[in-house]
Amino acid sequence: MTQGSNAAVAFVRTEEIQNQPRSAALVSLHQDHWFIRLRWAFVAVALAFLGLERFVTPSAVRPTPLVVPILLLAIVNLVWMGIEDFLLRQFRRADADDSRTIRLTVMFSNAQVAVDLTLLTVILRYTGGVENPMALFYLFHMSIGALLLRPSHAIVQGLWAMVLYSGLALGEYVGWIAPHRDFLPQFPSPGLYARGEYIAAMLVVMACGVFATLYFTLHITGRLMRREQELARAHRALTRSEAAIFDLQQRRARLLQIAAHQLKGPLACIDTLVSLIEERIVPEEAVPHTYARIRERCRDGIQQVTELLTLARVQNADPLRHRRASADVARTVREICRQYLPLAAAKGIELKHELPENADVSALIDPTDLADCLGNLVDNAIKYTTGPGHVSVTVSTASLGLAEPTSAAGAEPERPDGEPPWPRGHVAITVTDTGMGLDPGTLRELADAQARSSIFDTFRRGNNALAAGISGTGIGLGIVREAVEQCGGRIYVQSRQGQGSSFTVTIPTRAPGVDEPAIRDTRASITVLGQDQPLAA
Amino acid sequence: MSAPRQRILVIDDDPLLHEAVRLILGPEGYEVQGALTGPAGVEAMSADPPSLVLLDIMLATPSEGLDLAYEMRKNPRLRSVPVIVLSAVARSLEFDFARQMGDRRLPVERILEKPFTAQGLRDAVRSLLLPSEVHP
Repeated sequence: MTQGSNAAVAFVRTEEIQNQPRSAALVSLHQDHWFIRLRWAFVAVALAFLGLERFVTPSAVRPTPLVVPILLLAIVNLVWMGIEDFLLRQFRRADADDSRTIRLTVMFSNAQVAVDLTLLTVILRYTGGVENPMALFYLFHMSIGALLLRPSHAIVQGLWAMVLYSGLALGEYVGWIAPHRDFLPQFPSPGLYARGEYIAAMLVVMACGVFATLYFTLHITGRLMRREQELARAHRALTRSEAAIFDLQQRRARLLQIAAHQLKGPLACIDTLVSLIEERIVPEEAVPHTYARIRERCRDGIQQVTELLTLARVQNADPLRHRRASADVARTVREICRQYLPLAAAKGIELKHELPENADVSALIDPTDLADCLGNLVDNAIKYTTGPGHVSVTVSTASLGLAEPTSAAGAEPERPDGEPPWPRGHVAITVTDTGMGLDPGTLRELADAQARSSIFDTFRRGNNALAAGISGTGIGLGIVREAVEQCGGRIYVQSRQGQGSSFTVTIPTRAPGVDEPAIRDTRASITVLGQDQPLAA
Repeated sequence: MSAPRQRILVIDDDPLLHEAVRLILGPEGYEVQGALTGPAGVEAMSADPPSLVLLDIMLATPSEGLDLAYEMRKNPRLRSVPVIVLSAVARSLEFDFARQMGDRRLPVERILEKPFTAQGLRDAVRSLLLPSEVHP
């Protein structure tokens, strides 16, 4: 039995909360187990009481029929144990038909309460009938019924209890059930069972007691279940936050080591080249060129430090600041495009932006972070596109009108065909270019959740960008990722080598629900879109 | 008839470093070939195994260079090609990575910490490639 109980508890604990009927059935089975143990206690106490009574007053002999329902209760309890064990085994089976087992569990609980009420009535019949104060046990059964059963089933059990009790009381009153037995052999009956006004009062009191107990217990049980579900949701949110914090800590620890390498690399190279000039290893005519390269490398180093400072600002600021902030997306897009227009024009690239008709779009992100994020995406698009080419920035509010909280499980609700892949209640900003695109290896790494690194990791750059010798710090996409993840947004990447790339960042437009984690689980925030779709225009 | 020139492959994401190595080892009679990424280095090695590889550790990923060194040791054609690691953080990474791979040391012949001197690089290369082969 204990083993069965532990198994039931383990089942209940590991049960996914989304599977409510199965979870509820397992909880009910666990409570059934407790009910069975209580019944054993009752059988033991009742038999001990009869034995003691026989010992104290040997002359008072109880009728044999009284022992029968008690022994019957013991036999029925053995059957209940067997059924409980069978149902637990059914739940453990991988190929189990859950709906059938759940139905059986509901029937099992109902049968137990109904049979108990019947046996209680039989015991009362032989121990004083309506004069026996043990009739209060009906109320006790109503409490158990309200805990174990669905509300409608519990009410049916209440009606069944009233039918049994009324049958007993009226049966004795009209003489169908005879002869009347005393509550205790030492106390002869005062004859209340034959008085109509007493019977009527008892029936009214019992009916009030039964249904009031049902009402209050069902009410409290309902509230407890709602609280339990809220607690489970909060627990899941906390677990996701914990995982996110762990991931963040690991990323930051790696960042320090990599940053040291990346900053030391250019300095070391400058040092080596200067020593080569000093030792006259660099030919006289190549010295000006080498100085120019050294200077270039110094500028790269300064740019790296500047971007690292931006990254540090984004990382170290209060992650909850985005909930308090609101950025004007359209204005930021216009401003960034205006800033980068000269750079794009110098490379022969057409830079354009496309805003929705209702250009008044605000998103829950710190305005400086949004500007950094977009600036890096546009900068990258121009950097990896050779003229003549095109870079476009598009703002989409397609799903704004459908803003709604995510489901309890954190999963996205199903979306109809043609609806954009980003979460509802987000505004999407897409930067598309006609540049070199990502090489398949880099794209594969990005799509692989188990990959050790991706281009969104700080200092990590795409292989084809490195091979092409295009200078870059490798920090830009790290800033994008940090800002987007902190505000609870998502990133979508689509790219084809030699044809171009499309980076979409989505920013929430509504505050998160109470049961959503304060620190989001960022490990699934980047999605690689299929190659079968055209690059976003 | 003179022997063919020894070919040294530099795998490093910094083109300026390729230039520095060329300036130091070119006059010594070596042919210096550069690869800016790990895959480009593998391609260059597969086509024609070099006499020696100068390898950076942090390429596209923090340990791509070391992964490459382990791969070379598994490849019968490249197993005997000596490897010199050139890295800004080689020493601090060496122990951790070797331990992760279950080794006591990395499968490389030398480790040169950046910045390196011209003489340091020359000495390291000469100790691995016989001088007679260097100066045909």
